[in-house]
Formats: sequence, structure tokens, C-alpha cells
Amino acid sequence: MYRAIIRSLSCTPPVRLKLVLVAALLVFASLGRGEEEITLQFPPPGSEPLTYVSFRPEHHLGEADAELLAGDGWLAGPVTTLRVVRTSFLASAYSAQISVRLVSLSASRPQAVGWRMGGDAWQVFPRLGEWVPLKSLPAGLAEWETEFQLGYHPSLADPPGLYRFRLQFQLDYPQLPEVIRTVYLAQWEMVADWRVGEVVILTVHGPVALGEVGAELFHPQLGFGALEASGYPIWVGTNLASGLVVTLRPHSVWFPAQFSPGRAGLLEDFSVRFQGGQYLPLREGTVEVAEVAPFVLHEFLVSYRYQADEQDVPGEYGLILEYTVSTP
Amino acid sequence: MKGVVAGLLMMGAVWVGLGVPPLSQSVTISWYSQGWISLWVHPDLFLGVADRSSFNPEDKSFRPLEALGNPVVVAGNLPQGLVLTIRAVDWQVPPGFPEPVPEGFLEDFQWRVSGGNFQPLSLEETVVWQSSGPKVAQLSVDYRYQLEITDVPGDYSVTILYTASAP
Repeated sequence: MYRAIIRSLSCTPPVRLKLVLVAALLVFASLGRGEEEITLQFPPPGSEPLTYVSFRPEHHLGEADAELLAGDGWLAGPVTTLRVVRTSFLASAYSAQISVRLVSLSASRPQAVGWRMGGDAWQVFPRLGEWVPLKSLPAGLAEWETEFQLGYHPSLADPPGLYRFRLQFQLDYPQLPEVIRTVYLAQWEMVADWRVGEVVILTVHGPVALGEVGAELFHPQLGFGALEASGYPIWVGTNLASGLVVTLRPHSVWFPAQFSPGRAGLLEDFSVRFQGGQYLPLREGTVEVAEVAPFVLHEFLVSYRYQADEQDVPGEYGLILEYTVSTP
Repeated sequence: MKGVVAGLLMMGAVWVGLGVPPLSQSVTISWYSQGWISLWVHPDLFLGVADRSSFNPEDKSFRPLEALGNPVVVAGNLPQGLVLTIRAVDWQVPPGFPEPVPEGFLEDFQWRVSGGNFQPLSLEETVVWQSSGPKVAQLSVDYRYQLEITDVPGDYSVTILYTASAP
């Protein structure tokens, strides 16, 4: 067993240099066809190969859209195969440890970069450059493969653009003597890229029924009360650095034919309150109700109020409000 | 919150793409108005005690018992308007009261609204006030009992029924 190792080490330095160069060329040639699986052998060609690693070097994750940026999902790359074949004494006598680390990232959150094997939960990198155990291969296990997937957990904090990260893998034999351990160390890399689109999010609650105007809303001494509905959520967010402006306008109204105040009178008695502030009377035209900072999903709780009076003849009333978000 | 939003996003309330056109979404707010009438009448009244001081020997007249400025509020949203009526539904006089009851008693009990003319209370419904459309009206009602020599000692009372309705 050790004879083979010693034989490998006995190569003269120029020969070993040559072998490394060949391996580098192999990787380089493969990267040009990055979406295809490649197989690397270790030690590099020229010596007896004892470990084969098959993998896909490039992963295109696609584009992160609003659903992903506002939600809790992962932008997942294609499901690929990571395969390790070990031969000879390395497989029979030595356990191996496969590890991975995040080498570079063109985004600010290493914790948002992850991988998963065989459809398991996503694993994330604690920080840049730190090796993370991926799989232990016991002695005697010659072949191992898994479904392997790279992913990114996007956030509204990610500005639009093209992103990329690079991973470095290694298959190490920790039980080997240190002096020969590096010879049989297998290392390979994967890169992944994805795009984050320009995202503007506006989500408005569903229909609101304010209730009924009746005699109980009238107090002989205090006058008329109001119909009120509070705590209706609106979510607004963007990954555009400019942020957003939220405006509101009445779109259409309806009321019984005998409602003499008409559209103007209805709007005059209708008001809207954002986040517990003052009620703003709704009139014709557009009203700015909020300015929204970028990169965060904002929740606004909205209240609606209709001031009743004796002019509210029996029948159905309502209006359609239109919320609009735009860049300032 | 993100989970909720993600769910709502499935409704398509998002915009994704190049360029930044305004993004709008509408919401419907609705309510219903019942037909309603509200009537509020002042509390029970005590007009006072008739005694020797109520009689003026010079002209042999009686000073009436009065309660002025009593509020009645009537309101309603019915397009056809409102009608407020008044009538007597119960009464009490001392056993020795010599007049016909209740006619002789009720004709001495009078009312008026907001400075109008006094008119006797009746067993029949009498219109107090009316409107031609939705209205809130605060009325001021005066009551007067015209004393006579036939008002024998004892307790007198009348129960008045106000009724607000749509014509």
C-alpha cells in the first residue's frame, strides 16, 4: 500500500509540475462546457489515479423574482450528480472527508448561499472561507454519489444585478501521514450565478365590508357615529435604491339613486388612516400616503372610516380604491 | 409576515421586470345602509302643584301649570321622509273629577312644538312634525295644563305616545 504512495512521491519535481499542468488544462477545458458534467482524477494524469470526482462545474440558478424576494424560498439551481470513485488502497483502508467552502461571493450574505444533497434541507455557509464538512466516506466505501444542488436564498435587500459565487471542494484523507496527504488531496471548484431582477412589490388586502349604517349609529345628543374597519395590511417593498412612493386614489364609487350627496359627498365622508396616524379625508385625485425605503418589505396597517349621517338612504354603498407604488 | 406575503403574491400583486412603471392594485370597500328611524323623547315631567296661588281673584283666572322647552329628537334616513305624531294613551284623575273623562280632562292638557300654537291633546294621532326626506330634527315641546275650578284635589297624569314613522 505504502509502496504505491512512495512511488508517486518519488516523481521528480518537473514531472509533478507537468502533471499538475495537465490537470489544470483539464479543468479549464471543462469550464468552457460548464453545464456538462466533468470527471477529474487525482492524483492528476501521469500517475496512478486513485480518486475520480465527477461533478458539474457551472450552475446557473436563474432569476430571483418577487415571489422569492418577498417570500422564504430558495433560488435553486439544477439537480446535478456529485460522484466520487475511489480505488486501490485508498478506498479499502482509508476513510475520506469531503468538505466545501465558499471562496468568493458577489453578494453580502454568505449565509444566503447554500447547497443540498438528495433533496434534504438546504445547508448554508457560516462565513466566507470556512470549510464545512459535506460527507464522510468510510474505509471500504469505494463509490459514493448524491444528487447535488446549489442555491441562493434571495432577499429584498439584494439590488438588481448579476450575482456569482465560487465554491471549493476537497476530498481529504485525514488518516494519511501529513507528508503524503497533500498528494492524494482532491480539490475541485464549482461556480454558480444568478440574476436578481428589479422588483416592486405591492400587495393589498382583500375586500373590506364596513358593516351597516343603522339607528344605532345615531345618538340623539352626540350625533352620528361612523363605520370603521381597522388593521388591514398592505405590503410594499422594492430592491430599487430609489425606494417607492405609495399613493391612493378613489377609482369608482356606487350608492343608491336617492343618495343626494352623490360621489363628492360620499368621498367627503370617507377617510383613510395609515399606521395609526390621522384619518385623511378622501377626495378626488391622488393622495400620497407613504414613502418607502428600499430593501425592506414594509407592512402598513390601514383603517377605513365612513362617517354616517341622515343622508345615507337605505341601500348598498361602496368604492374601489386604487393603491399605486412608483419610484419618486 | 413573509409567508403571508408570499401567499398573497400568488395573487399576482407584484411587478417584476426591467424599467419601473407604476404598479397599482385596487381594493373594494363596501357597506350597507338600513332604513332607520330614531326617536328620543324627554324624560317624565312633573308640571307642579295647583294651589291657592294658582288662582287670580282679580280676574278670576287660573295660572296654568307649564313645562316648556322639552326636547324631542327625531331622525331618519328614509327618502320619503318622516312623520311624528302625538296622542294620549293613558290618564289619571282623582275620583271626584266632575268633567267627562277623558275628553274633559284632555282638552285642558295642551301642547305645542317650537313656538307654534297650543292645541289640546287627543286620543287620536295628531301630526307634530314631518319632513319630506332624510332629516334630523331637534324639537322643543311645551306642555300646559289649563287649571279650572273643577280640578278637584288629587293626582293627575297623562301618558303621551309619540310615534315616528315613514309616510
